[in-house]
Amino acid sequence: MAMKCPVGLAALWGRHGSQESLARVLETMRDEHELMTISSLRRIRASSVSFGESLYRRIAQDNWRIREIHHRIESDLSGEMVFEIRIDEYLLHFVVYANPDGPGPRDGRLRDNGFDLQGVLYEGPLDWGRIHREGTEIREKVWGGRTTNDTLAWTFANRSSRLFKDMRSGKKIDLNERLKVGGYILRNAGAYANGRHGSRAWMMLPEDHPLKYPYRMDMFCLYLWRLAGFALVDDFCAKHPEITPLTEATKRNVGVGNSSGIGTVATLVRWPSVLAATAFAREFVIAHALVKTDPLGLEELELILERLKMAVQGAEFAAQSDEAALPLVVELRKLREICELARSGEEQPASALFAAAESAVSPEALEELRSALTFVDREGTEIAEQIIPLLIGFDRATAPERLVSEERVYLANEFGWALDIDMSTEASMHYFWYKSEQNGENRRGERRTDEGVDRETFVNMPGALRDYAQALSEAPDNWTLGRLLLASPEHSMIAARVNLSRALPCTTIHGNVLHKNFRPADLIRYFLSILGLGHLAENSNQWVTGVGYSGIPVLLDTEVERKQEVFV
Amino acid sequence: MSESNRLGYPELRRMAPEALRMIGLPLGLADRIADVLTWTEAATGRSLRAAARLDGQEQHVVLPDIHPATEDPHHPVIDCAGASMLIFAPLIVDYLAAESHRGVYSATLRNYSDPSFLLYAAYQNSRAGYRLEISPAGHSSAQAQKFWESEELGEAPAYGQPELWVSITPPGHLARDAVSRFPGQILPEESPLWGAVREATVRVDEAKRTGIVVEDAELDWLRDITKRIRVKSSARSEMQAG
Repeated sequence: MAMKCPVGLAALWGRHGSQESLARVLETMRDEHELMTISSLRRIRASSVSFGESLYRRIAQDNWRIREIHHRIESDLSGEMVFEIRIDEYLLHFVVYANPDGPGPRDGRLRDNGFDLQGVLYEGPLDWGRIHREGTEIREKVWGGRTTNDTLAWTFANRSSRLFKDMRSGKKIDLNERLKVGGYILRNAGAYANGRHGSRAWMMLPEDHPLKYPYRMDMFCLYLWRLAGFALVDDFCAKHPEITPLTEATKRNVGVGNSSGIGTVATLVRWPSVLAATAFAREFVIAHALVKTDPLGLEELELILERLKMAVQGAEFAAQSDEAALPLVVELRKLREICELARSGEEQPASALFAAAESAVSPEALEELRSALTFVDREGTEIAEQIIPLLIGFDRATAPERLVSEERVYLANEFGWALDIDMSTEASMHYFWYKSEQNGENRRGERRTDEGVDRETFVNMPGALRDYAQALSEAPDNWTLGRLLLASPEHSMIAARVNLSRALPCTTIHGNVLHKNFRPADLIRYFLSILGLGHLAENSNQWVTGVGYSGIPVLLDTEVERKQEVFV
Repeated sequence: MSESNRLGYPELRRMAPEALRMIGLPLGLADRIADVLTWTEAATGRSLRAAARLDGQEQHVVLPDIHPATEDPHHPVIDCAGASMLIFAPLIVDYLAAESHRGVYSATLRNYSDPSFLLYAAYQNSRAGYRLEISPAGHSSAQAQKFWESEELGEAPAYGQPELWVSITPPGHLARDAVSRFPGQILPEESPLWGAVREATVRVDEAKRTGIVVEDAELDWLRDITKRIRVKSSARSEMQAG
């Protein structure tokens, strides 16, 4: 079955080719029922349309100018740094407030009220008064702090405690040796934008604003933390001759760390259009690459091999802390050999290379090849980049005039997988999601044991679909959905989501995240991949660590103007 | 009010479902009504006050009773039994939108409260191609204008509100066909409702750009009620975190 064509794509495609060629791409895409299962989503890896990659292309192609203009870090690691960002006519500043080294490592969780570093990204000229005021607010009030409408984001990070502990030990260290397989200097602890703390909403930025794109603000904060990490370490090395500083070659492999937990599962369920846009866009580019009949050129094969090299490196890094990643290392090496053979053999299109790999490597390794193929398809990537905001901005609405009898048939055809799940067993309803009193941190409880079932977060899609199906079955055939929802308003959200699935494919995870056997890490991996993070490793089945922006050049003008101290 | 009372539009939208759940709305309804609450707060500055008023009331999700008008079987009368339009405006208007495809072009709404939330329903359905008119029954255009412009809109008790005549045409129909059935013959161009909707959308657009400034008492209420959804922490719960 061909992938459903999302609303808006046909018009967008019209500039690139015929509707027949679009149909070929849609037919080549995996079916939604195959793609949206938890096991398939788990395997998905960062691609050319991941939010981080998309941002990095903009930074590099549009020549964003980022330079550190103030640096004052004391021996206890406290102080401030200010980065100036010029993008065409836009002037932004990223201010880093560094706190002294704490007694131990910080987790970087939402429950925490203290971080090593706090950052503010704002639009406008350098303004020390404002920087001072905002520093007081973010440092003293943290979660309760408020900002102004010209602030784009607040963001938090922690230093790699092991790295900094060693750096401060007085021992001789070569940072290049230490970070040769990648890794990070700073760990991201979240970006709070899009209205949070009173910041400006990205959707309301002017049309030509460089950060007006889904998740771009979040990913830019991540990018800035990478640069701030290098600035911190370079400064530290300059003051400590016993430490060999990072070379540019090593820096390329060093990214920014991140750890995500079960809250991301609730996010994926809560925002069906984000799920649809991200799953569809990546699959679209893959299919776009696979339908091409032209053979892959040498440059393209080199690029695929480069991406696979990074994938091997990422898997090796993950295997250091997560043994389960070891088989992937072996499979990825096998995949590289297949691609190296293709480079030295006869020319072939992407589909032939893919077919050769498909029969030889594991599905997880094959997904890395799919991702690599997206990086050699510029046109497909450009179209998909335009699809993403279209789909994410799509309004959820009901279709009140639709008849109950029609809705029953649609539900049975499209959501049969959910209606077939037996939700009456203890195992199928084992868990529930909730927010804790500790800053609203997402948590998962066991339904039979834990407090908070009455305040559970919505993640039970199969249950809601089944309840809706039940209400539909009990309503008269000639009722409209408008009539049904007036009588049973509790089904409003699910009716709107079902209606959304008529316009967009891939809006729903085909599985039950409440089940006793569900592993949150499977979907956390997906979320981190769509952001563009690699080096994924599971700390537990509830936490996945990753590294962002590893393997890319450092585009930073390193000129630092050491200004007078402004913080008193 | 200080600058710290300024909420981002999406910030309020994120808080709204939790607030609505804690005043008793079912989970499957709260998400939809969150749109109504956020839009109307940006447009009129009165929706948090209305939501706070519902907080603590036990019977605010009373289903409206629908029955045909005695003189016209194609003209339903919807008795809201005091229900707030915060909760029912989009549901009632959706119902009428659906019925308009079957030739039911008008209805009477009575015993409702918080009519300011009808502005959102009118706006939203117009985006889907429906044409909606709502006006106090038997009132002149000037009185209708006063009704929609009233600072007290939403404050009067349900049983003190005038009956509303609702007229709706489905997409593709000539609006005039429907409004000709409308008492007072108010044409859309002159409609007090649409004047109010137009002003509201300007304020909403501005709020999306610059945020929504909320009264101290309402902000305190919002912060308090959204904390109520949070569950007590324990060593065990910390292990199940993320």
